[in-house]
Amino acid sequence: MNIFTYEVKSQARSFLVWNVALLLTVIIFMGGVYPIYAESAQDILEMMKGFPEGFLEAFGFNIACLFSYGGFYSFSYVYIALVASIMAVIVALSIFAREKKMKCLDFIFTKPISRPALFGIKTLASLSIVILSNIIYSIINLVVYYLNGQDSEMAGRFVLASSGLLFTQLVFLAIGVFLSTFMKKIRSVSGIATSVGFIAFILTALANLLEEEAMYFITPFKYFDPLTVMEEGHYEVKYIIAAIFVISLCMGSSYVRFIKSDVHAV
Amino acid sequence: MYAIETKGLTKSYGKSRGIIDVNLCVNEGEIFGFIGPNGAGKSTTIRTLLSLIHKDSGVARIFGLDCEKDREKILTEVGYLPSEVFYYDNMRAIDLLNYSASFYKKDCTKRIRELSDALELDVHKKIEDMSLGNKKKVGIVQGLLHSPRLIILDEPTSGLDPLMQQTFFELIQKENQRGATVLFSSHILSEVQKICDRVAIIKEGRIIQTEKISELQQNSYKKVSFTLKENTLEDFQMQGAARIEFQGNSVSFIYRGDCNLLLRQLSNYTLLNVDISEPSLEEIFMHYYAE
Repeated sequence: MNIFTYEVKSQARSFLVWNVALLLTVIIFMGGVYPIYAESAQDILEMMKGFPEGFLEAFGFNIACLFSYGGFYSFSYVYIALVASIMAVIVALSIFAREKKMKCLDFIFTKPISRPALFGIKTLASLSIVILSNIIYSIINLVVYYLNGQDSEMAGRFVLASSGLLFTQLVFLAIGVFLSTFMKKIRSVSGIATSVGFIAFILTALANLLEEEAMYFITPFKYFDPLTVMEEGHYEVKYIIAAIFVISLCMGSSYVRFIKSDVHAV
Repeated sequence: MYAIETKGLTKSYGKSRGIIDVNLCVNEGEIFGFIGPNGAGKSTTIRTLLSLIHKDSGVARIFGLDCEKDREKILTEVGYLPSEVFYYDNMRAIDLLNYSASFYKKDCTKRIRELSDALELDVHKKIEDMSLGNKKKVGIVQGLLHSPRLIILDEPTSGLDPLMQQTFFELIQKENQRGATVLFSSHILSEVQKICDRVAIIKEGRIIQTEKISELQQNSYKKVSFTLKENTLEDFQMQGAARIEFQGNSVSFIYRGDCNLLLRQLSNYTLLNVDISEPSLEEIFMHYYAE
């Protein structure tokens, strides 16, 4: 457990910063913007009619349901997921690529702990951070939901929709682990994480614009779409399978590389 | 049972050579030198023993255990100091040492204090703010803090000043007196000469000689130089003579063979001066590399 404690402790500052960012995003969108937005629905609708359809689609403006709480959360979710995905990749890179980045692989790999155990503990540390972050996120999200005077009958669905962020983060955590183990050099953790987050964001905009179902499969922000949960009460199975496939592929290949790879002198 | 035993140990890096058919036997309790220039295969051998890299073929055992299959069991008994030390950023030396100690099921607090005191290491300083020499000291303490049965040192003295090198050698000799086996890899022959019992010379991935330091220096090789009284010598050849160098009317070489034959050969010349002495390990080593 020494490694677990060390990894979790060393993530404390980053955890704090990214959770504040995540919570601020949801509080600003759902606690600050939504009430004003809902009140000015008619004016905004008129204004949006002036925008090209492609522009509205690319940025996730679904006029039909934008004024419902679920609809607005779904629109905001892309931006929340952007912050959350960057955070998840940072967690994975910081924990799995720490020794590679600091050139101290010799130190950890000459300690009496097996490589599978080391991989397992690092995975557990990453999961703990992401899960704890999502518990805080879900609680705050639910508090904001009630503060907005939303229907308590739909609260169950909203909690499920909220939990989509955890599953999305798990996908990005796996992508981060994959990058940590396969990239030869890790120069900037935040640089790589931001790039991954923005690629996912751009893919989401493209998928919204093209409305091609095939595109959704390579768009992790779409796997756990809150609007589907709010309207139908469940996630779409095909995207759950896609997420499981991405996670399994990334974690499986990373595990094999972590176990088998040679550690060369620096 | 040997502390270290390899048989036909081979590792290549794709098309480039690593080590070929390395056979080593290091007895428990000895200080074993492992010498060769950079790129000869010293680090590859060590990294294979530590299971940092995976062998292509052959056998590698430490205390009779397989280096890959019994890796964790072996590593509880091994202390390793790499040639270049790198540790985690934002960590004080004491935190790194405590973290390192947490991997062994024993209390290393007293040993950390003893070693840090002996090396005059300020353990409360951040590692990233330390000089190369002090980082190396952290490496030495973290390699020895659990009183390992086998100490593997890969070019250990780089960055240490001569006084600290002396302290380091004394520490290693104390560890050896306690019963620890030491594998000492270096390209600085004088330091190997100083503390090792036996030495293996590695050249282009192959072990070319394993001998006792004393035998290597005293019994086999002679450094010979002679000066002719009058004319200069343009050619000199003799079986057993190597690294023959001409300077004016002087000739010098390393000789291995029957000393009577040597004297008979020298008696053919009218000599002004002759000097037959023990060569340094460095000169013997260069002889191996010239072959």
